[in-house]
Amino acid sequence: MKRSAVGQTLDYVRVHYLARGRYRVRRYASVLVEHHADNLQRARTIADELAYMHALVAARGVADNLADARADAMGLLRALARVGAVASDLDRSLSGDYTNAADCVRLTAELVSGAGTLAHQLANHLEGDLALSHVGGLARVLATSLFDTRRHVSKVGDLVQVLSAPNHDVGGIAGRVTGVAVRVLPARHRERYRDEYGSELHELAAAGTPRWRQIAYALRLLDRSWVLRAELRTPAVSKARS
Amino acid sequence: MPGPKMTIPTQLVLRALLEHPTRELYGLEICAAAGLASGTIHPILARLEGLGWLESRWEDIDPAKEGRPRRRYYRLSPDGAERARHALANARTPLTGLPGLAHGGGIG
Repeated sequence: MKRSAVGQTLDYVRVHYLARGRYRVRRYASVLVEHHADNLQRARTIADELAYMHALVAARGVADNLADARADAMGLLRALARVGAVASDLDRSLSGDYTNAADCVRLTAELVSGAGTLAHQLANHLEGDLALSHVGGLARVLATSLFDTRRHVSKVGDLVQVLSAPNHDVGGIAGRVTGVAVRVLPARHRERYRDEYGSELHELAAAGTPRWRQIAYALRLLDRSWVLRAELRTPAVSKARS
Repeated sequence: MPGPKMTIPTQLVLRALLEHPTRELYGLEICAAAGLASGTIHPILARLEGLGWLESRWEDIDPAKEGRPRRRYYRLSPDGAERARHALANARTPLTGLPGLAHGGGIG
């Protein structure tokens, strides 16, 4: 059967929506890789600086605090190496069919959080050490950066969830569209139709209707809302044969 | 009072409701029974309800307990059912004259 113009438009909206989502998640993944490279560079600078300081003070036998700091820094580098490996897996998954993408995001988030905790501990460890306070400052900057990276991973996770779970309108687009459709209606009818549309959207989602179909449903409601508005504003007598 | 203009979608909705006149249906069920695209029936339902042919009510459930929102149920009023049968019988463009629509074939 030949598809109607509305059907073709809805297909276009669906394809455009998915393509835009995939583009955004790839862009976020690229930014995540950049974040990781910066974080790794900061951690290496910290490790190098500690190694340099260790060489300076070791001869004087006051290197205990420094040895602990170096151990923390090495742990940080190992944690970031794991972040890099999982982020690469995530990037490959997002370039393909999203297999294990959600697991990769979850693991990346855990590893970044763990690295952030280590950086924070290192900064605290060096806080009272006058000779190493500048390294402590670097660790503090790294901890802040890892916090930002963690937030960025959350954004990637939200998009991955939307793009890999076709049966749920996670972004609430359909709900927002029906909200607009309801605002078109006379004020005294809005509450009823808000509840009625919401109930129908819930039924569609519960029945496993793909998200784009839920959005198409909401767009049809919006398209028909002006007709419904006219019906609701027309006295019953004039409805006959009109 | 005369009835509504008997457009094809209106006839499909009435026919769906007349199949089980005592049973209450909610919006998505009516769409499915009428073979109409979801989201297109509310103006028709509003018109029929405004004319007194339809009655509607909220489902009597506790949404928190059921884990879903309450539905809005529709059914023909006794008078509306009689008027609907008469109107369908006298429609200028009866459904039986349109191939593909007589047995619930969808439009839209």
